[in-house]
Amino acid sequence: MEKRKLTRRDFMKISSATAVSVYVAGLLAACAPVATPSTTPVAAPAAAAGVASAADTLTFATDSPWGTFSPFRPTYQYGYSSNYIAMLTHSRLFDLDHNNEPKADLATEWTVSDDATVYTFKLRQDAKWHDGQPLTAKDVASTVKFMMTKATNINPTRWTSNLKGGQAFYDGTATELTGVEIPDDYTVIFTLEKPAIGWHFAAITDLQILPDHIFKDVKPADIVEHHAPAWYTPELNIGSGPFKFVQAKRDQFVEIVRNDDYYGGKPKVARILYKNFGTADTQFIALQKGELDVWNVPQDFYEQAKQLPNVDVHLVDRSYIRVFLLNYESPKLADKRVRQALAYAIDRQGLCDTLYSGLCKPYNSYMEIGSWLAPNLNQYEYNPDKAKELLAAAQAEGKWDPNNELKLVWYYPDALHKDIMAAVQQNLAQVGVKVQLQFLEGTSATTAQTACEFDMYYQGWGFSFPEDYNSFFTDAKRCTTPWDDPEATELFKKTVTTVDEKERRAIHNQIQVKLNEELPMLPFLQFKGVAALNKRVGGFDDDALWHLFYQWNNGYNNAVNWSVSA
Amino acid sequence: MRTYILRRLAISLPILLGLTVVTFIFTELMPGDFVDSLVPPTAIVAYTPAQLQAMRENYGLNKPAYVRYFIWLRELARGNLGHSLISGAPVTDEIMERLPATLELTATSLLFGIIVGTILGVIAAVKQYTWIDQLLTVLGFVWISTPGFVFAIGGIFLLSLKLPLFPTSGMIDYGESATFLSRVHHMILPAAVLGLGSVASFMRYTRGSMLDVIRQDYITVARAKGLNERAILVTHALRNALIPLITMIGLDIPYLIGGTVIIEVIFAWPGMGTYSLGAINARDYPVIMGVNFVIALVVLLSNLVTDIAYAFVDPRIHYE
Repeated sequence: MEKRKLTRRDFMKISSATAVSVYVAGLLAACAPVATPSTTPVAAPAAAAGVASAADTLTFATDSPWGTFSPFRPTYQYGYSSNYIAMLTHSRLFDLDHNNEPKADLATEWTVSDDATVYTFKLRQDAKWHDGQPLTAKDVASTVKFMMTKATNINPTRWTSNLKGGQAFYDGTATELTGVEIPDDYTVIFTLEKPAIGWHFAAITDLQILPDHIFKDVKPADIVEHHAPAWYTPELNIGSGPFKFVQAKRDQFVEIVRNDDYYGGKPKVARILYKNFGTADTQFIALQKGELDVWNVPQDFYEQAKQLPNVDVHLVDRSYIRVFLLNYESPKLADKRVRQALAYAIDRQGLCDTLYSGLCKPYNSYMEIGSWLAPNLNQYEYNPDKAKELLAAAQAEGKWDPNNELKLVWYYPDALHKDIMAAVQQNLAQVGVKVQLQFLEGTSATTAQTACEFDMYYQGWGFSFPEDYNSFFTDAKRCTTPWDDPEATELFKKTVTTVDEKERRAIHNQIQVKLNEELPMLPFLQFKGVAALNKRVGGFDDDALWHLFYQWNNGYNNAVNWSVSA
Repeated sequence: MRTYILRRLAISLPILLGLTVVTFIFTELMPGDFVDSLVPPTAIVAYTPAQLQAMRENYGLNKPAYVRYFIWLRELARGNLGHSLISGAPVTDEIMERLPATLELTATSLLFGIIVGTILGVIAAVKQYTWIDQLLTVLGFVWISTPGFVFAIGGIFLLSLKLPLFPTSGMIDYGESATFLSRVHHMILPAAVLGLGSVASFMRYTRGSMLDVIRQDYITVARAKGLNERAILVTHALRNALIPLITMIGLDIPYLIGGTVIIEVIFAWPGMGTYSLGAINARDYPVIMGVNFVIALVVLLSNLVTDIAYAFVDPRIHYE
């Protein structure tokens, strides 16, 4: 029997019909309501919102993919991630304001024992979860345990290495966590293995408290990843913060609405949206168009943003500096005079004025928290002659060879940094120091840093607490060896055990003066952040602005006051 | 024909395998690994080498490269592309979530390229050496040689900000249930920007091919029969002139898929491009491998389909 052959015409008809229908079906299918990638069925999200007009929605931009969506502290694992959303949907024991001073949140008061080993927190009694259940000390204790369970893969070193019984609990050799006690429903006591000043700043400011009544049934492995389906599920993503999670679509947007029963008062703005607007150029256009209300303005958009009629531009003094790490192991930089010469040779003020639109200033301490900065530090003002003198003196003693070439590594990919590094190279060439520039993309840069493959390494520097620096200088694993100065090591150790703040400040001043003279690393510039707010946005105070740049470890403690006018 | 298809499929297998090897080697050559990308430079001191090692073991990164490759291959044979290191979700699920967005964007661009390119090509051929032809030639050069991001940002600036015709970015209006029209609305700008290069190449090829055909004897015969010019051009000339364009479609698909990466990032289009860029920056190996594998598969299949289609459309072609 002869088979009926497919003719050309049939083929053309069939294939074009198929192509068209597949295409249209694809478009239509994707029109289905936003689905969560969860296995748990989700109630229709729009109904939960109840509010939905642009007039009462505050819109933020978020990069793609936004960092941490889970309320677990990102810095335990995802360093540069932001966790804006969790900061608004969840609560912490206390928050920090823009002076790094603590403000009560869930805890109304707290005390630290004289030897800095016992931290006691009293909780407020009117806090409720978004599902109406009361929030108690049990929730705090179980959040800590949950986070310290190995299966969560969080490995919170500040907790495991400090909390009594922490390591054993983490390793699974103990089932009880002895360092956490809850004598009553509204008291939590943390006991540490050994004195640690300011431990609560480092460990607790970003501890998002999770509801025990929900998470007791959840396996750690199922929620640890920050894009785990649980965080997209309104039934599981329950917090006690001023806003409630409604829905999210990864890489596209997150929608939260106000929590009318928030213990801190009913928020003014009905809805907040975090939306992915694409690259900075697109974000800028969205800001201009009024689609975007709050934007962290990148340096190169600063001048343009100032020209926009619908936007107010605010400058924020950031406790953020950039430094040049110097390779402790490199013989080229072994002599102090060579390091000082580098500091004198670079025209930092000039860089700020010309390349940074004045959005920075030279900085001379490793301590970037303004209130802890030591007075009377050598400012290392631009002085190429002094640099040459110092180099000549070092050369005379055989400690500097003019044929040396320093390898300078940086990881900021923008054009601005290319210009900055070129300027640094030029400045140093003027005093006879040859520099080889090498840009490395983030991950490669970290590898080069750990492997000591640099002479100068440009990086951002932002510890949150004075006691954090200790580890960087004295037990540094970076570049294999710490800064080998017994006196400084001793002083650093003393800071961790000195309870009296005045005394502690004195020690920190001493260390700063010492580092300012020795320059084991080269503090470089301190920056101002730029924030653009649509004129319709209200209630964004200094704390709120500041938090735009510190979202990873500070709460939005005035979010209830944010508002938008129609 | 059947043997031809089978033979082509058989050849595709080693090509695909080779591509996975190359992708794997390049991924390995990238400095640093997933753990490095997790730990920020300022926080590196907070980790002891033992902790970092434990994290690596946790992600299976301590095993030698070739072992990891064979594990990946073994799992691939079972239809398993592994789990994303970033999200912990199966790569297959994540790709399936994003592939439609990318395919839709590419398909629309291709369609835009074919339709607009062909029309302009015919015009250019018919009006050969007039100012229209010359203008289109210049435009063609501009479209094909200007990088997509320039058009993307320019397009957003002009057609979203200055003339608020289109949304700045995204695939849907958040929250509200997305209608078919709102999706088309979001699609127009990115698809047009992505398709401009294709418009240029289709235009040039159509022009050349039309000029060839117009000079054929059968067109002269048609004219001699007194057919009107429109019938000659559309029914007789264009249909035959389009045949070589099928090859162009096959060649264009890989370019479009490659081009989506930057266009998706600029327009916040939640497709494979945005996804793979994030994965590369984070050294999320299973995702990088999975995405490349799927893209290679799509490209190989589309080439095969083009070749087969060719045989059907042009009766002179036989594969045996």
